[in-house]
Amino acid sequence: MAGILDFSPDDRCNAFITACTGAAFGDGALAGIAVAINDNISTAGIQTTCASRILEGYIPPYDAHAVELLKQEGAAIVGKTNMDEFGMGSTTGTSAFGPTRNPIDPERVPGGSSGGSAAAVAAGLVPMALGTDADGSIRCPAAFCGIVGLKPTYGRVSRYGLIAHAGSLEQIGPMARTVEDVSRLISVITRYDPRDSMMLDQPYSHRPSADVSDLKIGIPTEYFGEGVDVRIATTVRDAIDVLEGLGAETTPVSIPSVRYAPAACCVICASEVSSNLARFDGVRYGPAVDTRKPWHEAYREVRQANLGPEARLRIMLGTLTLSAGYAGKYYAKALAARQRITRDFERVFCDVDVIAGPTTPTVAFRPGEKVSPLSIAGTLTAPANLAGIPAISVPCGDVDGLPVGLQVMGRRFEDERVIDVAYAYEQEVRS
Amino acid sequence: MKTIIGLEVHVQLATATKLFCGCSTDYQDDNPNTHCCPTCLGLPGALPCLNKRAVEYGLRVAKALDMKVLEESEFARKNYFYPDLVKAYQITQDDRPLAVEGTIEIEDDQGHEKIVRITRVHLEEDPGRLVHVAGASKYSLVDYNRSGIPLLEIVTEPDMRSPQEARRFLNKLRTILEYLEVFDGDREGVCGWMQTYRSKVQSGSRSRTYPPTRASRRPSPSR
Repeated sequence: MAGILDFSPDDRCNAFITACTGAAFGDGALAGIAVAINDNISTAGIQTTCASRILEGYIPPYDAHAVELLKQEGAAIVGKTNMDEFGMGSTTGTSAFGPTRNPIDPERVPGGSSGGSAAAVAAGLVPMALGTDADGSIRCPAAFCGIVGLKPTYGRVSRYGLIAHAGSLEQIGPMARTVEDVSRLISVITRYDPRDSMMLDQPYSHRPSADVSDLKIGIPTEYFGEGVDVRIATTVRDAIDVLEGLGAETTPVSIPSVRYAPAACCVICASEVSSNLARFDGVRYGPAVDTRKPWHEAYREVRQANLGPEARLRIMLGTLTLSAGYAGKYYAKALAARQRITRDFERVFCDVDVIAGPTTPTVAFRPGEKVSPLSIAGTLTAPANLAGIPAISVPCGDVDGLPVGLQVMGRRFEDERVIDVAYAYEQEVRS
Repeated sequence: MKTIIGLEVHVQLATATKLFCGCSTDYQDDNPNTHCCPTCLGLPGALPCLNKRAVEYGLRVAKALDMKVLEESEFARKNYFYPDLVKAYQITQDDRPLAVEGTIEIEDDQGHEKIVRITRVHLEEDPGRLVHVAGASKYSLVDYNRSGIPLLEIVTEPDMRSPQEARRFLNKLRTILEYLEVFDGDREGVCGWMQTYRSKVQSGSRSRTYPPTRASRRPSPSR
């Protein structure tokens, strides 16, 4: 029953950078289902820009592994979604193709960086999408737009074809309106790929179970303290009470090192960005360099003209944090903090099965309200990237009509369990 | 005044495929840019996957030169911009190379036995190649067939005292590499062999051509 899906979205939120009006699909677990793909995931024959001018017009000759698998299972790749440029941001406001608006309230940001994917799902344009998450880029927009988003365990989904800005933190992950759809999508994209050396052969084949009796949930004090909107804290606490009502046991825990997470994440990201984004020189793809000029001059011009201010800022910052004399002061310290955070989580997971708290400290804000990368974004989400653990965000109510996300984090390679917990909550409040 | 020579030798390993992808290394008679894939072209999103055989070849050399093989070895990025360098960094080894501290025995100019100490051997990828077409001053062409070819860099201590000693060292090294079947002197189109000389007067300061330039490449000594 293969065919062509006629896709003509009413894209009022600017969720898509590229929409494919006729998308081919085949047979399989996702037969005929429209799936949107974050624009930093390579799609053969479909422009892939990372929301940057420097990749405008770049059409990859190959599919990312995750996209290959979606096609194998019959999905229709209907378009490429908007994001912060190269995934750097938490508002989808740094895109070279204009900001995405939040379908719940168009005056507000959808979160980011995978804001286009979240908005496309929340607006009902597609049932599911792939996002990418290096410091919260799946979970933050999922929370802001009121959908479900999973950042899988590091090494669970192949990064082959993902144009990562920070490959040591980043994973491709599913976004959908229900936990069940997130589970369906993750079960397709976790098939082993030897081309990603960091991947383990641990495919997800699991049907969500709503049984949380005997489950031990840790409640980290750091996730309910300073900087977290009290109404969000209360809403999330209520959600955890629902899980308690289902037989789960809760216990307070402490992960003091998470206070280093935003700074560590910022330095590691910037460092990797300075190296990863260096290849965009206009020689092989994207806007072409002026070959009549000396090559270094031509490079400088093409990068200055086509990389946005946020990207240039992070390249400069990362060049500093990796240079001789500074690497020890910044990069090495950030790696040490990352190790400490990882160990702290391991210690806590000796006593509890999952950790639950809010996904974001605030609800969706207006553009321009929050700008500093260190201020708010990533405080509650970045720890999971640094520790490499799975984390899911599931809608758990609202504050002033804006969605709130419950975040559930688990042990490495226990993506099944965080999905089960989110599923149990979702089933209970829906019924 | 005394001549002091240490060498950095870059050996193209005779693997069937490139260091981080499955592209064939046998491009000698083929058109430019025909032995390429997303990985060795540095296309956005492509990832490196280490060639096991290249590591085995490197270890063979390490054992033959009586070196200490490191329990944990590490690749690093050398970041610099150049049109033949697809990712704007070369994947090479820095802090933890494959192996350290070996020796090769040669004859010195008086015919006595002499030990040349080997500092380290490490794996790295070759960049592509710029082709400057005669008469075309406004552009250069790039051939990425060579991009990602495995190189074994062999670094010596400054133990040689004359160009003749250096030549004897290279001949000996070449014999060893050919015996180990990790290097095929006949196969390489351009050159399988690059040497960077570091030589200086006795005062101790060393001059070093860095980064190794293509101009320092030479045809193999026996040809």
